[in-house]
Amino acid sequence: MSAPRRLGLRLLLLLALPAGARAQQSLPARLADRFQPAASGVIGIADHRVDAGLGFERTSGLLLGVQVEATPLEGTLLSVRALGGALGAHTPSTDARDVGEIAATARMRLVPWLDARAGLTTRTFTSSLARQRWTSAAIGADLRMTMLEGRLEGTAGAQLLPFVRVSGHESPNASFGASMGLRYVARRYLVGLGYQLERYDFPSVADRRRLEEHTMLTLRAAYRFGRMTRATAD
Amino acid sequence: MKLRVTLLVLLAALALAGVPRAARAQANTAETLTEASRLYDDLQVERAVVLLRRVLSPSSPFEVSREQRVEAYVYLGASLAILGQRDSAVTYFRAALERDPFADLDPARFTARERAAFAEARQRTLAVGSRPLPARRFDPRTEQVPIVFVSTQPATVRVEVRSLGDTTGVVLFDRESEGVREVAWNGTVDGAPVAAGRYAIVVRASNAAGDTDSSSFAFTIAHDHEALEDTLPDFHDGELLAERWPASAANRDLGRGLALAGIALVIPTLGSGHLDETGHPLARVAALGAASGGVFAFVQRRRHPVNTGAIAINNARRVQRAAHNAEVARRNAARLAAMRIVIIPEATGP
Repeated sequence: MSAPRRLGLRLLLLLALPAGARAQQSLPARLADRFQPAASGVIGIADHRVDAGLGFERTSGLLLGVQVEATPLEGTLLSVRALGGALGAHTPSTDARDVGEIAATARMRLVPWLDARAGLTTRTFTSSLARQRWTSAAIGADLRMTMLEGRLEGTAGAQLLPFVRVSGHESPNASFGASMGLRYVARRYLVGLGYQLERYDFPSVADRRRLEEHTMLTLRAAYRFGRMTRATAD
Repeated sequence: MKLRVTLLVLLAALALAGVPRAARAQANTAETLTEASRLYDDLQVERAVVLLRRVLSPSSPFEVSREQRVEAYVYLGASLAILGQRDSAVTYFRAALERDPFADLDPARFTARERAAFAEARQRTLAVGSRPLPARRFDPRTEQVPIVFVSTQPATVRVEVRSLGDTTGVVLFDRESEGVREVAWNGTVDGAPVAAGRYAIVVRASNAAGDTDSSSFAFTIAHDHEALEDTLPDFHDGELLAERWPASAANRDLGRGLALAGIALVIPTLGSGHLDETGHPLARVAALGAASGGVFAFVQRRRHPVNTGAIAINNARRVQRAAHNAEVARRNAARLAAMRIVIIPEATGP
């Protein structure tokens, strides 16, 4: 083998070595290690109550959906949840409707027992008569209560919804939410129970005050990807 | 004038009183020996004998060191040999050899008759000894300390360095020997640098006739090395996390679960009373779930009170400390490897 060819081969080998070392772990695996994503299946029961001054209306039904979340930085969590289902009428003169929602939430650990959260939600109610879209932004805080060395964790939160837009209506003049959650983590698996309430008080129109309340109970099962760290293992 | 003379006399007396008695005594002995040596060289042997007997007399008012006594015995033996008193000469030469086995007669200074008597004394006296080690600092890896010993007769001689505190020691020489010999010691015992402490070089000899003799002198070994670091002690209970959960932990977890259940029940009350006609079954389910979680945590904590997280943290701290101590030990070992041994001779008596 001639000297220039040997030199060329050596250079090629030198360049290939770092690439080979990187190739030992695929890009998805490295992303999974970095962001610790989790994918969940969500089943929920929604309860929607309205009092527009003409009587009490209530619909409820089963929702199904998915949720994905990731940890871009330590102590933070980004999650996106999509749910959809049909709400059946439980009161007279109430239309059944379909509901679909997409919610994005960001959490940040302030202290070990308190998280700050902010979120955007868009929810659509579709009945045989009309379609109504709700868009809201929320900020709030969650109190964290760890049990069993963090394997079991409860949260209790309160949110303000400073921005709510409802198609076909004026925006409510008072909106807030409250939530409770409990989750159990076993290595890569997570099971969570959640309950949340959103209340909207709309401005009075012709002495009729519109009140709406949306509550939902969710149960989700998740699987976490990526390299197990001490925190995730716990 | 008379007063001044009296003062001078008094000052002189005080100055004399201030000189240590031992020094003056030894000075007198030294002067006497010098005078005796001079008389011996001038062949005034009888006068030398008188002076030498005065030095050796038990009633001598002057202090006599071991070296001075040996010198006096040698000159007295030599003088008596010249005077034809061979038996007495041999006796005094033996006395010199018993006190200093290294004693010898210089052929340039002493006659054949004297040396013959000295040789006879040596043949009749088994005495061994070793020269004191001088103060010295040396590297045990590359240097050695010479140890000089002597046996006045052919004898089996054993030379060892022995600790005065315990039974450790090293034998440097153990075979037939006669006269002055030198062995080297590298400052190690059983392959390791000798520990600091008090030691003695012990020389023992036994001849074919069954006579035995021994001598020893003590010295101190010190280590000269860079200051060693202390390792950190093991953790005591207060420094580690409790590895078992206290009984209150189970109650606390149960309380948290029940608190969450209470919160789940309170949340619907934040809604409008107008919207509460049919109650909030979802909140009750959520409360039931939270309470069940609390009970589950309570039972788990009671059944498994071991705090695995604390154990992991404690183990990590122990590993960290062990690593720290291993590093300290490594640095200390490096310092000890570069250690120098210091020999500090101890004062010998007369």
